[in-house]
Amino acid sequence: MRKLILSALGATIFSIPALAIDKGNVGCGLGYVLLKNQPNTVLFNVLAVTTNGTSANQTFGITSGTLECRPTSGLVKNDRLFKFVSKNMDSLASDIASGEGEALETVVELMNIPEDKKAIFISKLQENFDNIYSSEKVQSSDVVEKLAEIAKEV
Amino acid sequence: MAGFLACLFVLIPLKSFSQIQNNLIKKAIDLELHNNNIWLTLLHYKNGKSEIHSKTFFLSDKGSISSLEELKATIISFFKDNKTICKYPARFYFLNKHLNLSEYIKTPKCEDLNKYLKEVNPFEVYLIFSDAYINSPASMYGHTFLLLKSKYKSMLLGYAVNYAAAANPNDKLMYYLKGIFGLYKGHFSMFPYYEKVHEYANLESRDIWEYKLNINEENAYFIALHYWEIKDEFSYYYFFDKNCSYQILYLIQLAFPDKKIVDNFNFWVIPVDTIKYLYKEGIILKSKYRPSATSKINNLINLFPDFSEEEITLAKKVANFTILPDSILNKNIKTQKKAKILELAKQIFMYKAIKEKIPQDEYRKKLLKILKARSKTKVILKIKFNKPIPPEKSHGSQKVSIGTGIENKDMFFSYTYRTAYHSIYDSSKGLLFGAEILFPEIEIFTFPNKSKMVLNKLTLIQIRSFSIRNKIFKPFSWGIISRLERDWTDNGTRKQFFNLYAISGYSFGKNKKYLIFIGQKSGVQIGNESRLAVGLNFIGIYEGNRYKAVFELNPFYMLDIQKEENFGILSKLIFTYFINQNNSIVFKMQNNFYNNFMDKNLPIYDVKINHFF
Repeated sequence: MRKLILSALGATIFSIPALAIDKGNVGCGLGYVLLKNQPNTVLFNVLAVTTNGTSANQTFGITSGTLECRPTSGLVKNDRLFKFVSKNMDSLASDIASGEGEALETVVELMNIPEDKKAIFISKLQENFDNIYSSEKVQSSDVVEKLAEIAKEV
Repeated sequence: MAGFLACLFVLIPLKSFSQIQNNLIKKAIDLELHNNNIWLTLLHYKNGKSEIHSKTFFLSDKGSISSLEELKATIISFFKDNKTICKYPARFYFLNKHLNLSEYIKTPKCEDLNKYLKEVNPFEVYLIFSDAYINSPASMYGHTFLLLKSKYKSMLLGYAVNYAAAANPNDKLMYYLKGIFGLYKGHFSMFPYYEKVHEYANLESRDIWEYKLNINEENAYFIALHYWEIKDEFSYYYFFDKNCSYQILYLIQLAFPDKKIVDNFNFWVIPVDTIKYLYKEGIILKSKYRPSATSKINNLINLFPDFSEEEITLAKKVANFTILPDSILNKNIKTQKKAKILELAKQIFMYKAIKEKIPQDEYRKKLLKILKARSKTKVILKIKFNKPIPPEKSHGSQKVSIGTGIENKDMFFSYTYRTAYHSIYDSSKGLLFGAEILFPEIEIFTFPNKSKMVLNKLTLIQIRSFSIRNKIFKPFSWGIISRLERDWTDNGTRKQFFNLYAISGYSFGKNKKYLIFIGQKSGVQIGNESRLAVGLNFIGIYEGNRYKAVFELNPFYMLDIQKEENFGILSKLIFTYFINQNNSIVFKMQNNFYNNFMDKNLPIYDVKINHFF
């Protein structure tokens, strides 16, 4: 009996870190936010229930942070930036590729890039797209670190 | 003795404490704070009682029906335990202004509250309108919520304050009934604005309008404090009157002590009506447009006038990966052109990824391929999307009309009232072109020569969505009609039927200009002689700046309950002249041809004056 309890306990303990690692790999990459909560697009969607004042699933949206993301290295300490990049991976990638867009503007603002260096910073990002998004497994922490590196150069 | 002295020292300040408290309560009553518009708004009072239904919100047992009792209880609670301030920071803020409470009560630290305020950092307030979503009747009038914008320039870093019902999507049909009869609890909630933008603009493809309100930083802060007080409370949600757009008005009201905004909305609160009202009251300063994923794509095509059909097709092929993004780079065309093709391909791909639910791995690989190619052009296009006519320029959501005409040689007068919202015959300025929602509409005819009055039509609900198909989007057009209506019978008279019809097909054309619908219309007519009808349906719409012409043809086959067959063609020509935003005049010619009826051709001609409000 004692053995049984112990092994059950053991199993629980071992399963915790496993879960944590799993989460780290799922969140904060490309497509994670964009493809989440897709609407149903069945024809004759008349009875479909979508948002609009009729679903309040996340009352505490404000506290939902970046726990699921791999943290940045100690060098970059900008929580708001990290959170924004993690939650806007797709639109930021899309904006950097085009050299314009609101997600990109937001990142530039959060990184305190001086007005006169903005244009050059943005075109540097566009030039370095390959480097920032070097693989499809790229995580928000990788992106933030690369952005910080490029910011130093301008 | 020492013990007694200690007691005395403690008792003396306590006594004066309660004296101060009583004096302050007296002062509050003298100032009539319990009847102060802001106090009443903080308690969500309307007509003498609160519209917040959770008991935990009130400090007094009578708090939901007596603003005075709640005022007293609030002051007493603040004195008794200053931590109460952390739960009711807006009440404290308001009372402190009038009673200088902070002279007598030490303000506590309120860690959570401060963390929240630091994160939200309220600076400006916007009302956000997300356009109609015709695929869901719950969203067919659009949706409004508030945005607390921080000092950051970027709107995306703001926080959305949303009021919504905690509905259970599995309720299906019950969901509508529950929504209408107030069986759902409604809550205020807060989300990062970028999440809401993603939800509406990307996932649901709804255009967003951002209205900057004439609210200063102090009041923005005050509203943020009040959100904190109500975030865990609820009020029953009623789809028609106590909905999202209505409840949000309480928050706006906090910044306008001299206005009674909420009191203006009683029976039927339609999001656009609240926007029009706020404009009229000078509360809205300016508006900004945020295109949906679909609008972005359609807009891009219009923004690049040098785009040929071939190039659009090319972009579509890249998005579908029938050709590789890199192949565009190797083409012998100008770099600027390459950038435009890849830009369009990127937008189409991201839109389709959502619609078609591409698996994440595949999505990531393909996205990076398109984006890499796009970045290699090194072109920044500086895209500025065109702003369409804003929703507040639309006609009013209610309509009354009077008219006169001839029905199969009998002269009649007609009187119509429509609660909401828009028909395909009305001006589509500020509204979705080709969309129709009548919910409900009643039309009465009087025949002076026969001294007869009849209910000609009672539309319970009619939704028709004619979405135009183009090179990129291939939407389906559909409609449902449920109404009581007089229709022709055997002996050339019109009798009452309950009609239930479904429409489906395809629409082609040019947005805001013209469309042609080709499809089928079938359903049942239930009445004295119930009958089944299947038929084809052709509709043509042409809209100019001041007028609109609609032609409809509906050849059908009918089978009645005695298994008698009938063929017919219904044809309609409706011409509307728009006098201005809220007035129009309609000319209508309708002919019903029936193969089997005594009178084969049964025409109706009429003219009507519409007034929207």
